[in-house]
Amino acid sequence: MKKHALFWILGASALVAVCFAGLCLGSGGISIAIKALAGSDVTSSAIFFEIRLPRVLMAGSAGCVLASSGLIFQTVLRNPLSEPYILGISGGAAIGVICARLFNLPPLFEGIAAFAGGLSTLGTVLAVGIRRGSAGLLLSGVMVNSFCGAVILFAVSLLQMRDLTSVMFWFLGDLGSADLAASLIWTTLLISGCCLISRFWHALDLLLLGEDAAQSLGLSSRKAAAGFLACSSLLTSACVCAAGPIGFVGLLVPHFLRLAFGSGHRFLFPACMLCGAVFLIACDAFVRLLPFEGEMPIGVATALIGAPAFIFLLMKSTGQN
Amino acid sequence: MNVLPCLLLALLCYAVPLQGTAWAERHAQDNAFPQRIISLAPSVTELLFALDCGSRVAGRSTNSTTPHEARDIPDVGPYNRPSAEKILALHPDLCIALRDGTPATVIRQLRRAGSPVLVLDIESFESLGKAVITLGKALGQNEKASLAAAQLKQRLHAARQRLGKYEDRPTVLFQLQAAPLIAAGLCSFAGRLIENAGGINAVRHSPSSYPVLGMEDALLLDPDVIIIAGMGNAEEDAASARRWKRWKHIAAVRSGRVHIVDSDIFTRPSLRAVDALETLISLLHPDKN
Repeated sequence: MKKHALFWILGASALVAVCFAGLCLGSGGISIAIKALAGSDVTSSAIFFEIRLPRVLMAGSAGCVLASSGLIFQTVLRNPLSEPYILGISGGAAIGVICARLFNLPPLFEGIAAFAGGLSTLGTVLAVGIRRGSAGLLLSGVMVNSFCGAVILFAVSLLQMRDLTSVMFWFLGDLGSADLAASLIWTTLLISGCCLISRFWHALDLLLLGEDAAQSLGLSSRKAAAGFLACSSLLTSACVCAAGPIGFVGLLVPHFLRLAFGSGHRFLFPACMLCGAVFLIACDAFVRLLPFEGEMPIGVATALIGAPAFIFLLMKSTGQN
Repeated sequence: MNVLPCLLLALLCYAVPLQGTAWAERHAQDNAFPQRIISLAPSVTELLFALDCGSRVAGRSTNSTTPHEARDIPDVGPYNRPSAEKILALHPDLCIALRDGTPATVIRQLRRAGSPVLVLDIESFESLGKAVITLGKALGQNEKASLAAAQLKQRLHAARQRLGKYEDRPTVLFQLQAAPLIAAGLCSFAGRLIENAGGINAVRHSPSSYPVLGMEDALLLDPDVIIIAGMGNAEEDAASARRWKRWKHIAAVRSGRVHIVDSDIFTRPSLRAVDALETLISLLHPDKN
């Protein structure tokens, strides 16, 4: 219990620290934050409240959703490498968003198209891979993801140069497009969704035991699994809609926490939410430190940090085994 | 055209990279002017039609929609990724490319396949005049080219006279794309237009021709004038302007100096660029109207 209490204290401190970094870093530096909070400069206030704050909110809520979705996928499919990005759910949702944008559909339909795309890829991956074991599921996910990537590249190749850059930037993760009001709405929706799912931590614990064991303990395991996958696909699709597909959060954060604290979802689920938020806000602050003209897409940072970190964790866990 | 001169020309072009004036002069001496020309950029298509060579254009890049007749010419792909196969299938005796735009790999492919490529380097009004003369020599339209270049010079001179001595030099952000925000840098053609029109490019400190900006950068630049390169879609262009209106503390937004201009005229190094310069002078210095 002491270990958990220490985690929450450190996690909360890290959240405060990365939020502070996220609000203070940028091309205008920390002086923007000081002037904005002092109310002495309108431009600084605009940068702080209309650019930096929405980014921190979007990064926090997206990180929270992606990490908890990764955890759900890994638990329900009992596959340590399952996560919405690798299994193509994000790619399917991205196809939905791009199609909606090609046909100039309103934002609500963009969301519906994203969810439809995400669910379709989930259905395909499960239909092809579920009976072929852990490796089969992963392989079918990787293939469906590659197919989604190809469809997106095909759609992108049809676009004019101007739209092409725009779509490619979004495709690599874009946290900077929402204003304060939109980011507040997204944050409320995404975090509420995660909190709602976290209430069913006990069902996730049972699913981890296997279908028969869960069934014998009174859980309708298939319904529960379908419900969890559909809900996390919905949240992931919403996340893709708001900030583009962002990889590695759902893989890295649950793995790290599982290695450190075991598999109990009562602790693991909210811990994933917190660490996912901290990780993505930190990545967003990191990209703003890089000597890159403009803004580097967040997906580049998550991959740059996430891939080596995951390899490290993999080697460490293999060593332990 | 005889096969032998064509083969010789192809061999010559393969062995020696073609660069503007020198090749044009050499070709002019051969007295066999190209009849199947591929234009690899919209501005080149405009220049070819301006020199009355429209009927000789066998292929054109995707966005070469000016003049209207150009639309009927076979498309060989966008300027930044033309299809070498489509180009060669049209049996060109000359391809005309732009140094700033046409991919070097495609130019190499075409040359390897024996198709001569004339690369024009247009980065300012002065080099535009030279490019017109070069084209005239290469296509046997010396007189027309000289006349066009002289007219260009004259209009440029008149525009500069109109501008006169200016004390007020507004900072200008020339937006080429909204998301991500891409501006015209100092070395781009639109960037040089700003300097010529008596403005200061807001992104002058960037080494890139087309710097990508974060919104925070744009707010800190606080330009006096924002020029949006419109793409001919009124709805999208208006939405692009509306996005700026949200940032009321930017000087350009506060003073209502966010303008949408025709991207084709402002970003293409063609003879219409003088129209762009005149429009820009009016926008940057309303007192000179």
